[in-house]
Amino acid sequence: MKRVIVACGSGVATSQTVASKVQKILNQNRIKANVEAVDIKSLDQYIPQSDVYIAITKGSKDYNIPTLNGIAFLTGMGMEEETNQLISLLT
Amino acid sequence: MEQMMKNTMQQLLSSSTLFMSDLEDQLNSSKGQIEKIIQLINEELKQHNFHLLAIQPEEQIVIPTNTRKGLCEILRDATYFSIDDLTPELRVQLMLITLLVEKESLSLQDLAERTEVSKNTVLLDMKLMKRKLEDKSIEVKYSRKHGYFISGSEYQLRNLLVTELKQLFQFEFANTLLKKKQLIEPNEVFLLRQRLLRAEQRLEISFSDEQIEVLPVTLHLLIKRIQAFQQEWVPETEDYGVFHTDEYEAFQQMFWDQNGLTEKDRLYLTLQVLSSNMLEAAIHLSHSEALKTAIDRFIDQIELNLVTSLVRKEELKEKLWLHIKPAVYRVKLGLHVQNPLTQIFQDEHASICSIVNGAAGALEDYIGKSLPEEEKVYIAMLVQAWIYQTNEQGEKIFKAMVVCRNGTSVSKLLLETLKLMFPHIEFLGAFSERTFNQKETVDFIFTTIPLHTSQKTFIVNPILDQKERAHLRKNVRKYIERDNEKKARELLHSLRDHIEMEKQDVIHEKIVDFFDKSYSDNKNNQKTEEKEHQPFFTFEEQHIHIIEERVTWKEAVCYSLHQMKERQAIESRYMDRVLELFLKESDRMMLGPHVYLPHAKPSDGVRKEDFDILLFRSPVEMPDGGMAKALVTLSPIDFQHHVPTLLSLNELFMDETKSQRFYQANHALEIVETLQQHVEEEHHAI
Repeated sequence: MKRVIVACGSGVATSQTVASKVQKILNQNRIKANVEAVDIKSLDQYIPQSDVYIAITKGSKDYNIPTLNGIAFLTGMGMEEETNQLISLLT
Repeated sequence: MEQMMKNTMQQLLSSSTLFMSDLEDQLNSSKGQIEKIIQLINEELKQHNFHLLAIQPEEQIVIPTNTRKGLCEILRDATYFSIDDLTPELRVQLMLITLLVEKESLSLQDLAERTEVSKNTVLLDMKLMKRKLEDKSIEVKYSRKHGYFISGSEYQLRNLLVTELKQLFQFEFANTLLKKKQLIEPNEVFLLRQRLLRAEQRLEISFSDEQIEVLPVTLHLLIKRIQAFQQEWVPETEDYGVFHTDEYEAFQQMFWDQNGLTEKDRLYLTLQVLSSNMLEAAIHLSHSEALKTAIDRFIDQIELNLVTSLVRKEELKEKLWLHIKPAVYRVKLGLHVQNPLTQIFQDEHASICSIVNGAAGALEDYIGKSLPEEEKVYIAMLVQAWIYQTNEQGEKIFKAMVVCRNGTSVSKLLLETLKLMFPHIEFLGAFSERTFNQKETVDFIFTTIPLHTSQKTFIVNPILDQKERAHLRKNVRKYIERDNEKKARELLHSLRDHIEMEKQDVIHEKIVDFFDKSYSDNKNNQKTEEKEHQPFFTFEEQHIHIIEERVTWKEAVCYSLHQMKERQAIESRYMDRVLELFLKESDRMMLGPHVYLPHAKPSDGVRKEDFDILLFRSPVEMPDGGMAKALVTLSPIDFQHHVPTLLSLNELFMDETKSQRFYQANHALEIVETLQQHVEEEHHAI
């Protein structure tokens, strides 16, 4: 199963909410994938085993997996593009 | 009672929140007593327009920043305490200082008025003064024409003034007292202090906090005496070895605008500065190869007697040099320092005192005079500190620093004693009150004076006896036990060999969560159970506020945090942490279009899950530059429970019709209804 990770500074609220929301969107689209919120400090060790990274912190460094903008899922601004991209990456 | 109040204030200052039971423990008093003391402290605070201490229903005492500042000022400034009832010894000191700096004739009546006692009492005090001066070849005399005056050689009289001041400044209220008695001119003292600070910078030295307080007053009063009496000072020796040194030039210039000083007077004043304790100094100041050789010989002798070799010897020599350099001027000038710790130290460390005594000859040969007991004890303190110091660099879990008003030897000894007591704490060093704030943040500060800082402080005595050491150990332990984050660090440290480096952060988080969880479980077992059946937070009117006026983001966040604090959902440190995080990372703390979500972690001081929603009539600019229409402040009890509520709020904000209803609400109650309706719909959808 494909794996999506969401990370932010504390991992308490924003990334958790984005992760839940993204999971919901994927479920609605019948795409099977695991969405997980992780702490930014442990990001490096999750990246190699993941397919998509949804970033919530600005200016985070580049990783060699596709990276999406997490805030879009919360504010709706650019959400459609990000969703489409996510779906195409996971199918 | 005053002492009790002082102790309580010191305890209050040492942490941001504490419970009544802590105070009962630490002060060994009943709850009733403590409540009474807190009432008294509040009266003081009120009088000086500071916020008051509040005891929460759960017996937690909350200390807002403003109150902390107030406590600090009250402790520092003795005007808050009575200085009207002076002891006979203090009255004598005050009279001596007055007679030494004022030339106009002082009658019995004048002295009685100055000290605010009867003439009879002054006569009794005079007897005490005569006894005090007996073996100093200084006399207090009376003549009908001149009133009371003091006679002796100018050299001795100046030294007497200096030592009396040093003694007086062992009381915190010295400055206030001198000001009140109009003996000093605060502006002049300020000016001298500024010049001293500038000279410090230029010469790359740093005086101890104590000296920065005492020295300007001493210089000011000496100048006052010199100008009033115009007596020539005859040095005991011609060779003070100061001419043509950088420091002599620099300090000498401090007095350029003082009228009526001769070259010799300026030398005397400069020697005062040179004989003051320093904390740091660039070694280039010295031209004195001879002193270095003397110190080498001294150390050799010590090692011989200890039958051991001292670690990091060069560093020790440097510290010794730093201490002995001014001490040489003190001894040559015949100035006796008061070391209030002499007796205690001699009792605690008799053997090192006798070894230093035996080796002191090497230094005395260099000075050409014998070292007084007090000076030897200072040196012994340094050596003792070095014996405590070991080469071992074990792994450290916590960071701490020492803040001390005294000079090198006392602070070094305290630092080394603490290092020995807490092998798992890394100490950054001993700093003065003026500089500690420029250093990095630490887990603990051990300090000899109350400090105005939000960092955790432990107030300690400069020299810790066995009982105090045990007490301090217990207190530090207790504090760590209560702080889940610190407890987790300890646990992780003990497991570190079995955990991969890169996983340590994750595991640390998990441990903190575990402790947080078991803490809240214990605390309100029933409530948690109830909550588990309720995935959504139940919003009531108290959780929602419509803000009509224009506010800044900080005002808005603070407003919500205060509401949450009132509801007992968070501790004060959570407020600080949220503000700190939100300022830095508001761009990621979002919950919807133009909706921000300030929050921190459960371990940052959350007591229960809570939400506070603000609706802004006029959008508010956030730290990241975005404009917020609403603010949802959160205190999460764990990493999961709040997520359904957040998700549900997010759906609401993203839904055009629902969000419109939200923003157009006229009353908090309308919003509550909108939220409830929305949650019910969501619930059905699930």
